[in-house]
Amino acid sequence: MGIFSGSSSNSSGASASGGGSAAERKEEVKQQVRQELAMANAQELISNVNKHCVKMCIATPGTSLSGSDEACLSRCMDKYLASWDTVSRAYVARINQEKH
Amino acid sequence: MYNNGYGASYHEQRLQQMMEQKQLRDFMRMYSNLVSRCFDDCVSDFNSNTLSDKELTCVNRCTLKNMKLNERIGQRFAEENAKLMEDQAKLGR
Repeated sequence: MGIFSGSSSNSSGASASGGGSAAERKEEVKQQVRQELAMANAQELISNVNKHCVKMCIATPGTSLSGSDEACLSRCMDKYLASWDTVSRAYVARINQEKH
Repeated sequence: MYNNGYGASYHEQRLQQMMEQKQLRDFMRMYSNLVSRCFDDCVSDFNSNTLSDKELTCVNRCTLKNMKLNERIGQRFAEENAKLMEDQAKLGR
């Protein structure tokens, strides 16, 4: 499950151009909504990464980013995305647990 | 059924769509708040670019705890709301 894809990424055949059945059209709309959400989600994610990592990595703003600043920011982003992934797994696991 | 597209059922559908979209947006927002909070509380060492075992455990626990918190709050809210409605109904009589 990629970070920016919806949770059910196995929807097929949404690229039919002809007016398909109502079910197909509904699936197309769902797909579009998922993509728009993914975009908005990506923007918010990047904004959050920025906010947290600048707070944690850059103690006193200088005139430019030092090498260690850059390294810290890069690692911070990796860790943030890893956290995103972990939260995602834990969340889904919990939801599935409750279903059964 | 209505013949023109703007009958009551159209508005109902629109309303339903808007509610679903709002729900999705709220879900996404809750999700990113969750990640934000757990990252803040659990991760502070940037000498490595992968999560240590300790950080991983912390994030897992943080997620579960927050989810349970949300559920508990939802339950209490429903209970209090029901009580409130009951009281209001009693007053109304």
